[in-house]
Amino acid sequence: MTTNERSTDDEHRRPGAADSTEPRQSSDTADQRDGRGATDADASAVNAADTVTVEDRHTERWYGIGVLALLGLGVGVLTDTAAPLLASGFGLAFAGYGALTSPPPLDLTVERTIGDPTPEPGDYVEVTVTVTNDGERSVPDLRLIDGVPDRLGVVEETPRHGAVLGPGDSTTFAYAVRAERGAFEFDGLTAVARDVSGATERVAVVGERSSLRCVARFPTDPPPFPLRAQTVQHTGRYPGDAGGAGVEFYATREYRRGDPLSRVDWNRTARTGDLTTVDFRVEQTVRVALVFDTRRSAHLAPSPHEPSAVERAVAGGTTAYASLTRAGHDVGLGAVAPVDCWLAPGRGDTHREEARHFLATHPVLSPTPPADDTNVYRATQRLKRRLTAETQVVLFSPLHDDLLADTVVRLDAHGYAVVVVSPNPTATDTTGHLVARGERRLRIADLRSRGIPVIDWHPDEDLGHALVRTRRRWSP
Amino acid sequence: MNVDYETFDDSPSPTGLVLTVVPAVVVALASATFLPAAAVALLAVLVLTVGVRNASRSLVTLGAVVLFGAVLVAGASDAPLPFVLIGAGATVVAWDAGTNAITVGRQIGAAAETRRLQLVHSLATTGVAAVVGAVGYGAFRLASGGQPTAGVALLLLAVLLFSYLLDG
Amino acid sequence: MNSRDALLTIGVATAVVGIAMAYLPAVTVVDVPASVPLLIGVVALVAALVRGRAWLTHESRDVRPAERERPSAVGVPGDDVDATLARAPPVGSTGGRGGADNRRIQFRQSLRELAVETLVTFQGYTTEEARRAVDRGTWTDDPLAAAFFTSPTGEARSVTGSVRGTLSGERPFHRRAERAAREIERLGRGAEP
Repeated sequence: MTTNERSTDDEHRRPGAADSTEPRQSSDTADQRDGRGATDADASAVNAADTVTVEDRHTERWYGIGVLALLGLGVGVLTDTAAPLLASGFGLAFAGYGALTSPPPLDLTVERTIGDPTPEPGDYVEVTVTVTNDGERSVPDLRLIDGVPDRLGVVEETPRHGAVLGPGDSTTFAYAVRAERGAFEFDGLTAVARDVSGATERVAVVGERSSLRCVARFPTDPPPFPLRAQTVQHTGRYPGDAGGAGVEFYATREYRRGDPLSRVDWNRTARTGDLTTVDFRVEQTVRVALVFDTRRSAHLAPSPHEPSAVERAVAGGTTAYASLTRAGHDVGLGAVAPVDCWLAPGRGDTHREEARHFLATHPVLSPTPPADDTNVYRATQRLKRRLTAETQVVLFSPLHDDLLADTVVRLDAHGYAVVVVSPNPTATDTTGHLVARGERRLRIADLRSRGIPVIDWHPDEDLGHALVRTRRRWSP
Repeated sequence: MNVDYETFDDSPSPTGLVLTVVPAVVVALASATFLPAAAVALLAVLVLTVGVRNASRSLVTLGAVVLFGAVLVAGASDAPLPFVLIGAGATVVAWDAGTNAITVGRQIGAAAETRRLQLVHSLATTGVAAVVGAVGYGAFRLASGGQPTAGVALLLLAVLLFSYLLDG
Repeated sequence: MNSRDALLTIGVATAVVGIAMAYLPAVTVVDVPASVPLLIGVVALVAALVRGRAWLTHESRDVRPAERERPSAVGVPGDDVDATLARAPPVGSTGGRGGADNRRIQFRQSLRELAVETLVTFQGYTTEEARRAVDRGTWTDDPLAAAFFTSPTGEARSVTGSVRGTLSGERPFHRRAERAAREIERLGRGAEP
């Protein structure tokens, strides 16, 4: 359905040289850059051993230069003058120049330094790369592109560089990436070495696989997060719920100056004229499972280079976790994914730290789409085995197809209380995009008509704002 | 939330333009003994500039062919041989710099520092051109008769052979 | 030594002999008539023209590394629909070739269902009313959007229209499809929170 693609083609990484000059292993063992203490294992810039993989190619850049020789010959002979004939020698000579050269041997070492090892999401992290020519021959034409991780982008300078390196020389360049929540691997640096004529290229990947881990902090004052009306009995649901007002307010108290405005019950204000605040303190603890739709097809955005629905979902889940645990509930984490992904519900400091790292570094929640497809039925079964009857499910999904919407309906029919937070990934610029938007709206309307609350979360919107917007719609 | 990521600017850098235009102007000067040739050469300079600016290899090649045409015309109009050879050599240097600038733009981009890279490449090409020119001049001085026509026919055959072979 | 190297050697040898013949009186192989230079010159220029054309259109095979500046691209919902539409040829143009010409009809059918459901869900129509409105074109004020469902193949009905259609059958269909999709999206906005 949806495809993830890189912009241009031709990334040659196949090992094996076609030449007699073999790729030589550069000096091993890079520095261990992990100097951080045990407590703050948030991020590290771990370096792996250098390796070089090679591909040689002909660029054909001197193609056609012989035409000048033909022109010179023709003019010289027809006008019976010597000078054009001699000028044609250039065409001949350069045709040979372009055919008789071979690519320079490559023996490089790369050292990559990552500036801030513990970035917050949104920080600009400086990356400094130093490339050294360890060989005995100089590399007269070296073009370098650093292996910025797939889902990160460069915000300052450029990860590309050109250099001329004599034996033992090194060159340095730096750029900055914007840190996003998650664990990222830098790929090896791509080095393109050409001989001085430019007719042949040697492409190598110098494997400096640094990592960057960015763990988000929980927001200090998260907006209140809605839950379904909780049952008193252990079986079945509260009979009065069928109407569709799936969000409950447990108590209201007088407005105190300093209360965040997002908590103000604006509808009540309109009716009675005074400010009252919605309070989510509950008598009984609720078990909540935040479930993320991280299928390959769910990695969608309104435009190809915006944050994907999965990235937004996990960010939203971070806020939801903070909000619900603060309100005293037990919160767990799970996913609809090709493999199992589960953190049992809990709260307290230990669980909080676990959840923080889980959200940032669990491979299922990574911004990189999975390679495999997800069997939604099996994933749902796995999930159901872990849910008790009273566990509320908050599903984060872009609702881009019917599969998960049907799953939600089935869960609801089996008695689970479900709330859906749907990051909206649709756009309006082409026919297909408009159709997808229209279909998604119908899905949301269908779920809502069955009494399942759906928060339609727009791309440039704060989750808190989306929650208020939705709450306003349903408050009594 | 739309982050302002760097977009890859794949156009040739100003260095590349300079390295192309300077030899091209040298060609125009070298053809100055025959003014129409010099005028055509200046036109070719324009074509080359536009070609590099728009990263169009076709335009750069066209500009080089026109430039070479100017050299040949000057040569056929009894321009001094050294000037013709300098003009021919400078044409190749200009074309090489222009196409290299386009490639460097596509692979590294305009944002990175590529001055030294392109300069070294152009210097090497200039060196080869100088050698070829010297050899050509030397060979001419040594000439003392013989069968130029038959010789040229064979040369033509060689060139055709080469250009068919080497270009594949 | 393979054939390529052999030819290369022959080429170099020919060039050397040619240069030698041109300059050194001692090397005289054969007597050549006067018309030969003319022939050589013409052949050279013709060859220059032919090779020159190839030269002008040649693209050098440099490696193009993948873009790294921005995060890798993700899809947008509906990309598959756009791809299908782009590949869908005009109705009747492929004659007896299987379901290929039905892609447009299939798309029109799906979009019709979407329109009906949208009208029912967000505009308070009954299913029957909605179907009728779509068939008659009364569901929207946009004439192009309405025409997408009212004309038999979503394209122009008149003779001149269908002639124009076969010549440039792409644009009317796609334009109307886009307008219809846009109208449907607009009608679905309704009472959004």
